Amino acid sequence: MTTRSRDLTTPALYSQTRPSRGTAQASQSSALAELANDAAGGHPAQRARVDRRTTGTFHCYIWPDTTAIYYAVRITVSWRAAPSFMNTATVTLAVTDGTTTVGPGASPYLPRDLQYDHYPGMSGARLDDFETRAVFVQRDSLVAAGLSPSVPWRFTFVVSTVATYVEAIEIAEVSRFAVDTADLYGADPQYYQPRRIIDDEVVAIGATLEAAYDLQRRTYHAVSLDDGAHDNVTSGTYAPVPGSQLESAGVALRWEVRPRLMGGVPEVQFGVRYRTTGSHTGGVRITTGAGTYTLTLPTTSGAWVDDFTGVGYLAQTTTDEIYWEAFSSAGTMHITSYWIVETP
Amino acid sequence: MTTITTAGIWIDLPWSGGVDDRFRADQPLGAGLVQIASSNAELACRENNLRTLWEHPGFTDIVGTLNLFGSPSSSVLAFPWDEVVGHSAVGVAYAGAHRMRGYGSTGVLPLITISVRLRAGGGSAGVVLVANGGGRPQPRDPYAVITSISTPYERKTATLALTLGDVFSRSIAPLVEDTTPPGAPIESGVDTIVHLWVGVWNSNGAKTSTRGMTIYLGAP
Repeated sequence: MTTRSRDLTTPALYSQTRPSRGTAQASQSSALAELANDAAGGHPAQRARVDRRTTGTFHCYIWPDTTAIYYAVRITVSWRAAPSFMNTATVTLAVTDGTTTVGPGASPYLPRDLQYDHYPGMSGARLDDFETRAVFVQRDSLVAAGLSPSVPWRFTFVVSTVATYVEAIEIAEVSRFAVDTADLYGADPQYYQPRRIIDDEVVAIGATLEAAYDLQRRTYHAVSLDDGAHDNVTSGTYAPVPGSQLESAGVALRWEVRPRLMGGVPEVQFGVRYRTTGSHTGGVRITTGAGTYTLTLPTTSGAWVDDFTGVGYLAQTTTDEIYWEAFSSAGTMHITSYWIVETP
Repeated sequence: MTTITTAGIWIDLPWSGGVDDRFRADQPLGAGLVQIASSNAELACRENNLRTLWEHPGFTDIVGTLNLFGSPSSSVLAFPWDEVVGHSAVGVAYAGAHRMRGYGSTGVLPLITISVRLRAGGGSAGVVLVANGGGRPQPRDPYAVITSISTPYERKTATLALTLGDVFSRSIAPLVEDTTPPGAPIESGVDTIVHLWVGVWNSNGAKTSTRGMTIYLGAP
C-alpha cells in the first residue's frame, strides 16, 4: 500500500482548452486526476447531530461504504445555571453494525479522548464558556474491530451531566487527504509527467469518477431523540407523528432539503429506530416531491430495532420537502431516530 | 470569453474495469472523452458539496420582547446568545461546525440557506443565522435574518453568502490508537470550516414558534 497526500483543491478544467486534434498536455491529465480525486473524496456528505441535552441515550447513523475514512465527532458543553468547578458532563460512545459493538468506555478502536469528562469554562458567560472536544473516529479501526463496512453503523451517545448542557454532539464525514493504492479508486496526479507514456494507470481516473458518483451518501434527514423521550405513534392509520415530526395538531412537519442533482432522480433509503409495545406491527412513510413511500415495520415486542430498508425518491428540483407519517396496528409504537440517506 | 467546465449533468461512461471501459489500456484517449470526464468530475465536486448541514425540530412559544435587526450589525452582538434553555425569551441553538469548500472550481462558496416554518403568533418574529469562526457572534460576522408577522405557519428562508475570508482552517491528523504506541496518522490535512448559530425572537411577547428548521448548502 502506498499513499500520496493531497491538499483539498479543485482545479478548473475548461473544455475549450482541450479541443479535438489539440495537443494533449501532461498537465491536463494531471489536473483531471486531481479533479477526480476531489470529486470522489473531497466532499463527503454524511452527518448527524444531537441537540442541546442534559441526559439521555441518542443514536446517530453513518453508512461506512463511502470514500470517507474519518468521522469527526465534536462534543460541545457549557454550564446550565452558573459557572462552577462542579459542572461536568460525560458523553460515552458505542458503535455497532448490529452484530459487533465497540465501546462504550475504553477501547483501542475509539479515540481515547472520548473517555474523559467535559468541564466547561468559568468566565461567567455561558457562550464564552463553551468547551468543545473534537476527535476523529477512524473507519478502518472499527473494521479491524470486526464491524462490517457494508451495513449502516449506529453511533450511540449516552449523555449524563451535572449542572451542564451538552450543547451539541456532531458527527460528520471528513474529506480525504490522500490517494491510497489500497482503495479501488484514486488517481495519482504525479503519474502524468511530460513525455511519459500513458498506460493502464489512466484506468484509475475512470474508477475515481465512479466513486465520485457511487460512493457518496448525502444525509438528508437525521433526527435523534432520547430513548426515554421518544415519539409515540398510536394512530391505526397513517397520520402525522406527534412529537418531533408534528408542526401543529394533525399537520406533519415539513423539512426542506437540497436534493443531489446529478442527472437522475435522487434515490434515498429511509427508516427509523423503533419498538412496538406489544406483538403488533406498524409502519412509517415519507412523502417527498416525488411521491409517497412506505416501510412496513414488523413487531419487535418491546425491543428497539433499526430498520432503514425503505426506498424512496426526491424531486429533481433544487429544493424538496419531506414529511413523515406513521401508524401502529395496535397499542403504541415508539420511534427514537429518523434517518434518510442517499442511495446513489 | 465564455468558459465551460461542466455540462451540468452526469454523462454515463461504460463501467470502469469492464470490457468497454473507455479508460482501459491501449485505448485512444480522445478529447471528447477527456471533456466528459472533466465535466463529470466538476459536476460531482459541485453537487457532492451541497448537503444538509443541520436540522432542528424548532422552538415553541418564544415570548421575548426583542426588536432586533433594525440596526443590523449591532443586533448580532445584542442578541442574548447566552439565554438558558427553558427561559423562552429567545430560542438559541449552536448549529455546529461545518466544512465549507468552494462550489466546484468556481472559487465561490455555496450559499448557506436556513429554511424554517415560522409562526409569529402576534407582533413580529424573526430568525437569525450567523456564521463565524467560533465563539460569540460578533458585529462583523456574516448573518442572515428572516422576519414574519404571519399568524399561521409559513415557509420562510434566508441565504447567507460567505467569502473565503469568512471560513477558518481546521487541522486533521488523528493518531492510529489501536496500536501501541499510537501510530502516525493514516492521512492528514487541513480543511475549512465555519460555525453556525441560530437565534429566534419575538418583538412583543406574543408566542412565536418555529418548526422544521434546516440549514443546507445551495448553488451560489
